[in-house]
Amino acid sequence: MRAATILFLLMPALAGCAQAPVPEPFPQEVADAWVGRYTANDAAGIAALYTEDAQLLPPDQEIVSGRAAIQEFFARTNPPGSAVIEIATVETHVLGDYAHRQGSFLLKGPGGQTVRAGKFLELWKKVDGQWLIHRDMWSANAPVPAFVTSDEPA
Amino acid sequence: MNRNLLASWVGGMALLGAAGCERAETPENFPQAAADGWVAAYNSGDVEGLALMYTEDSEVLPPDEPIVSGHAAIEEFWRTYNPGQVRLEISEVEARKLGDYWYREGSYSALVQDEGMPRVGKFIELWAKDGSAWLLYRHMWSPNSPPPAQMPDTAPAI
Repeated sequence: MRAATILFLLMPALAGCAQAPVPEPFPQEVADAWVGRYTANDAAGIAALYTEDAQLLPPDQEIVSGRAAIQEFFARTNPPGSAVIEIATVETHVLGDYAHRQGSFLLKGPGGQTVRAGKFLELWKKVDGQWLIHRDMWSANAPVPAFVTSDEPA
Repeated sequence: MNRNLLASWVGGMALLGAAGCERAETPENFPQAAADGWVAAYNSGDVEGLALMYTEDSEVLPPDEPIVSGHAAIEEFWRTYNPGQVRLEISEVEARKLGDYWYREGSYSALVQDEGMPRVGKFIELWAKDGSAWLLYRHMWSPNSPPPAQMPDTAPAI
């Protein structure tokens, strides 16, 4: 048996173990698209960035499950004229077909003043080659101030 | 080396390689004992014990409070939270091994002393291995309804 044959026979075994998963870059462009669509109050566009069985885990509310419910959530909570969002990615780990992202957000009013600051954890999932958000949990860094609503007596 | 010996060596190496790869794919179980230990420490008010269940670079992301980073701050956080007066139960749990981490999500029900109704909410955890121990690396939760005293909130929910 020649050396080349030996090498050839060993290759599958060596290659099999050498397939230590090369970490993919985090799909920041999809995360940026989320911010663009949120800014454009495009609830359907935002929902399209979530998996079919995605869940939002919002503070002080029940879990929101599935793309249709997620679209309804963003249509309700982010109508035109809503606060502007700024998002910073703090940490990402791409783990096979899943990815973890931690970040922070600021909501800014019309004058550019920060009306809320908070943090989030996301679990991303690669479905048919496309990175989508699978779990999305966030909360504010301080209690939400009690707003006096327009339909309440002055 | 004669030809037969060489052939069996090659075959052996190939088998070893394949076995090594298969071993790497053997499904692991979520470190349930560690998670149970967390609940036990929480319910018994063992704040020092609770803090030891987080990695050195752990972060707790509590609702309506800034992120709490590192052992000492996490211990102080739980001391202020005073977990000794709470009965916490975990349910609807789903865990998934992601690379070197365990991801876990689920629901909680916390019966706080002097409150008739339990506080119900959901959580997300990332666990990381520190030596032979699985510890919490990221820990986030929030209630499913606003605190009872809060005024109606019409602000964006995000």
